[in-house]
Amino acid sequence: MDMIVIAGFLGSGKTTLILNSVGQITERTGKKVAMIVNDFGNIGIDGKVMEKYGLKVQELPRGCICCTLGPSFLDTVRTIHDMYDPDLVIVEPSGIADPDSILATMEHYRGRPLGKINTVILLDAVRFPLLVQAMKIPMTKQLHSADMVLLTKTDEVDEDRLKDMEAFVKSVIGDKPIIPVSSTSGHNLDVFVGRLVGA
Amino acid sequence: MITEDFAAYAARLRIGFPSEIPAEELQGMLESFMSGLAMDCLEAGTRLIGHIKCLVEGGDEIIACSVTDHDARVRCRGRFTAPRSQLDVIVNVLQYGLKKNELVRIVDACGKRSFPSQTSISIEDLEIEEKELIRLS
Repeated sequence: MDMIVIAGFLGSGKTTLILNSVGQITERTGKKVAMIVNDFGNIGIDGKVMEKYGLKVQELPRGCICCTLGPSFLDTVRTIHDMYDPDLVIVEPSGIADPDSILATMEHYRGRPLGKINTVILLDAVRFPLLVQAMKIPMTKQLHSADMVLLTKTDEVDEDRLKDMEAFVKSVIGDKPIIPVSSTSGHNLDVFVGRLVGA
Repeated sequence: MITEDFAAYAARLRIGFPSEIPAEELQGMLESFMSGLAMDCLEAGTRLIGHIKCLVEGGDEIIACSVTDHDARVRCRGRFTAPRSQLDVIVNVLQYGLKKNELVRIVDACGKRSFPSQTSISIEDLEIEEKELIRLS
């Protein structure tokens, strides 16, 4: 079982991206996919939305899997691995999560061995200037853990914004893939899925 | 990304209307409520809106709306398709700058303002259960 952590700041479009790309992953690879969704609130809104749209979801509400819910997260991964044996588990942490801490938590995983763990970080193109101003250090830290960065909501910004973002992200992650996507229009979702699962 | 000024509030609003409200009006009220939350937070001093999101379930419908931008624009997935006389709205407000008690006040005020005057609204703090779990006595 491989794992993909799809992280990004609050409101960066994680749930929408997953809703609009999991179908493609299944269609193109035939892989059995399971979801773990972590919401900060006591009732997981994101998990309920995903279930409504047909995804099988294990919710972890009331906290963050990068800290307080770490042990529950490990239990959940092991349960999914043992009971459903998917080819791929996609983890959507809450938007306040530190992906590095999630990866550190996974070092304590004592279930059957996992395959690859990849981290995808989403960066909101609409709010990019605001986020750089208000959250530059934590945002940079988040980007450091990325295997791939998606610039989201690209249908709502101009080319200059995307160029600025790409330059910023490249200065942090170097040559790792940076893909501008729009979950709303579908722009580059096929490219994202192709890079993610190699299909 | 938890900083010292991060605060979150999760609540359930049970809203009862005196009679059935058409779907389009319900949609407008819900979007007005969500947009109002964002604007009130910004007016009260929110430094950064993280995510303000809500979920309305019932029947086969599910409507999820969210605000992330400082222009308070509301994006919704799903729309009301039938009239209703009551709504159960779960709302999460995650932001940087205001304390939780201010978020509680804003949700209360905005709820009263966004729905018709004859409407009954009860608000349940969804974090109370969690607090009871760590009570020592």
